[in-house]
Amino acid sequence: MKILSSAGHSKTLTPALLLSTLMLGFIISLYGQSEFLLQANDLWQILIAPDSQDIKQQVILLLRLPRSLVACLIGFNLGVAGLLMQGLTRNPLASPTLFAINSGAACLMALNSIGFAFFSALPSELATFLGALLGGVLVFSLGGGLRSDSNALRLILAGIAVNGLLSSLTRAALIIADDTAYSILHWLSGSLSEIDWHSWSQLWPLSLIALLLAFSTSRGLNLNALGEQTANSLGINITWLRVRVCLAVLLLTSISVTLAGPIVFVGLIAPHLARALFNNNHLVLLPASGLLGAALVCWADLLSRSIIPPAETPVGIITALIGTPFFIFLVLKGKL
Amino acid sequence: MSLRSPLLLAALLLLPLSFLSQHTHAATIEHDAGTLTLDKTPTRIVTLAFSFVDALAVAGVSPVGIADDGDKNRIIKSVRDLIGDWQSVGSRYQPSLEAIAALKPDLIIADSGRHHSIYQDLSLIAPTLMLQSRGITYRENLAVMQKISSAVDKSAQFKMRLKKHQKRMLDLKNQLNNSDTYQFAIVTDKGMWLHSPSSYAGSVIKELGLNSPMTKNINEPYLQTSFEQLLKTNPDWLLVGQYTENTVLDKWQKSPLWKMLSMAKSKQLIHVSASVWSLTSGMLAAEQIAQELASHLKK
Amino acid sequence: MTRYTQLLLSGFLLLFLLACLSLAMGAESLPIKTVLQTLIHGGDQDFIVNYYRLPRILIAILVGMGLAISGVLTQGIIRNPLASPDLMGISGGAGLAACTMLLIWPNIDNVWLPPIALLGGFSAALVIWLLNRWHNPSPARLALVGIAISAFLSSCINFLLILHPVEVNSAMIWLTGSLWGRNWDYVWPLLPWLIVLVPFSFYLAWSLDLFALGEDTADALGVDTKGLQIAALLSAVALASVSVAVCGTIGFVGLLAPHLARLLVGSRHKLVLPVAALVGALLVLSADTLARNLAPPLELPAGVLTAIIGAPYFLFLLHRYKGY
Repeated sequence: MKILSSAGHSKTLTPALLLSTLMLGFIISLYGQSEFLLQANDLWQILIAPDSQDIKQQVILLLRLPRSLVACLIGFNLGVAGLLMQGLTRNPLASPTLFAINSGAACLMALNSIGFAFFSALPSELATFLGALLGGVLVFSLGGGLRSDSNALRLILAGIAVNGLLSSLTRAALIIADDTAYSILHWLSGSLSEIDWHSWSQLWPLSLIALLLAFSTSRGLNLNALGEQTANSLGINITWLRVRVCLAVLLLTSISVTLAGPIVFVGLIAPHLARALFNNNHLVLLPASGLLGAALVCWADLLSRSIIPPAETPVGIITALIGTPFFIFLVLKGKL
Repeated sequence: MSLRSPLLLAALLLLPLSFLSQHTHAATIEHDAGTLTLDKTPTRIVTLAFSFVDALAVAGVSPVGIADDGDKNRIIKSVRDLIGDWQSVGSRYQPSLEAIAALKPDLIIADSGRHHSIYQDLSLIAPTLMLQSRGITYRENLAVMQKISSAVDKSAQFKMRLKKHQKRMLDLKNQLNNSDTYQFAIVTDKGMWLHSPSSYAGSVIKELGLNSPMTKNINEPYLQTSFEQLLKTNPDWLLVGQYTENTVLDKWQKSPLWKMLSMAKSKQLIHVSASVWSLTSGMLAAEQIAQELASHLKK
Repeated sequence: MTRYTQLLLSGFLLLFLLACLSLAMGAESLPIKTVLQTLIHGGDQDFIVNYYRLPRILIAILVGMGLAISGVLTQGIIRNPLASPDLMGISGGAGLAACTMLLIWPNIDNVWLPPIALLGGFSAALVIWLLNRWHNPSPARLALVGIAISAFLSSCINFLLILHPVEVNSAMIWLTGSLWGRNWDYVWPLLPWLIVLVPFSFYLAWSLDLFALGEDTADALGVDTKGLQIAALLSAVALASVSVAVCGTIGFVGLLAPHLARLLVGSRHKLVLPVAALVGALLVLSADTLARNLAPPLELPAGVLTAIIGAPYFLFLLHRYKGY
């Protein structure tokens, strides 16, 4: 990969490859694995001969298109969120999954949906936001992430413990509340099966705000990479930077969890691939990591529909199966 | 007097015999975990699935305990009316062995699909019949009902009722005769499950001579279904039972795609009771399903 | 009577009281008098007391001991306070193997569960050992690798359970660890393994004390360090695997029990091991008693409760640990 990025033509070749992978996944997921036996030709037909009475065209437009768009945007969000966290903490394992932000959001969302105590009064978006905040704050305060001598490993181990705690609470609450209880498996591993245009209209405005916020921090993150003191002396207000980054991360993660549940490890993998493929400028890394995340979720969703058709496997299990070996690889490579 | 006394004598002689035949019989029943021999007619029966309650009600026996998920209304009314009060022994997927043991049953009827792993424990409490309940067809269920009736020594009663049942079903079948397709589905806030012709409701529909819209996967009783698959299945009639108040159907109905379904065009979406159509199975349930179908079709 | 004997005795007493409580409480609460009568003479409550609660209590005690001793041995050999069979992926490997076997042959005899789980546990341990040899990571990083491997194995279990849906109770056993539906039929396959492995671990504990002084010192004192390390690791893996074979991946016990024991009696393995075994038994037994009594007749998986107790303690350990 190093050779690739140092070669002269890579400046155009790598982004082109990345975009075409994403586009290919996007297009295949528009017609793949369908009971209607959709084909690429049906996509073409929509463009040249739109027909509001043709069921195949309508399925693509009203079911497949929003699902693929949401998959990509959620992947983009998670990729960006992971990069922001790694940029701010300078911890290569920082990600929504390992810092219990995903599991915190899922836990409060579960409590919200089963009507536990006052949680049921909150709108589900607010509940997940609070859950994401809770998970993150717990990890940071208990892992000593706020102290100057904070240790990267300790933060990660704290994240794992908080993860264990929160997902156990989720399980306990669901078992007591839900007499079918089987939904736990789906609750704890994200799924995109119930996505429609309504989900998209919930997702994009908040994502847009959060992403703009994220991009506004890229210069700060570039300087932060040089060390806090350097950044400070170059006129960066570290506290203000932290607040903006945290807000962006929480928004990006919680809105994704609200719609699709915790899709794990995307926020860990995407930034590392982005760094391996591109330089260390956050202005480039942010979109790159986002696109990689989008491609990852898009392909994982496609895979999740193909394993036991016509039933679906939760997409979060697929990303977990891809993500954990990657995680082991990162730890062993001494990336920490 | 001279004529009467031999009769009286005979009656006196027969009395202990009839007493014997009422309280001791040796029923031997083949079930899913082996063969069970009962040397006494069971009187305290615990059932761990709703379909077995239907079978007992038909045989005229009241169970003392039912795994009713803690909600008596889960037993359908036509069954509830025929049996006396019972104790709850917890949920069907996790019946409480302690609560069952506390009832001191002399027969337990458990679901061989669900309670396979606790069969050993159940047989320690009382003689246990493992019979199929979930994902069973109409015909298979009748065979199970027969086994239960012979276990409680009510075979004769069962046969009489069966004849009546078969006549009713045949009458309704003749009334219903048409070529539309019918699909029953369960909806919750998590999704929709189509019940194929190898499920109970599906096989009752088939028994009534009505067509299923399904062409594939008919060996799986319950199929989780996305909106896209429902559009493909596209039944002429959709009968839905709800498990939760809000369901995915609310969302789907708002979609422009909904209008492309033939049952939406002809307004043939019918809400039915999930307890009758899905939670239980048995003669009484089947009759109710058939009657509901007939009443909707006449309109 | 030394303080240590007093401690052990009070531990036993506590365990006994808890066991009595667990025998009496549940969906059907029984007076202690009835319980004692039933234990001796059988009678009306024979099933509830002697066939339902008693084997479960025994399994909870055995499994708790197994996991705790396994934790002491792992931490002693790797000299890593963050190590334990569940965080090193050994429980995950054993769980995956046992779960896969039960999905392929649902009617297999319980006797086969421990050996199959052992195979899974050893494979996971082998992977960790190889990674450790090639990369020689720092203790905290090794813990992280272990956690990542457990995460991978548990997502494999999750995936298997999605592909072959089973009843939720059985699924919970393999996802979080539970004692639901465990009876005498599970005690017998478990018991012989523990009868052999527990005394062997006590024997190893004596040598481990020498090992704790450092490998060179131990060598000088005539301890076969390589052999000791291998023997202790093998029995740690075996203990964890047979425990997991019976009631799934009950988390955090193998981590928690040794630390609590060390807080009580210092760091000598000879002293730590019996106390840790007691603490482990107490932990699993109280988790299962709570699990049965929180919302009767519904049950929670015991593993959920050990995680709720264990995770905060793990955080506390992180707070005190200095050797990153």
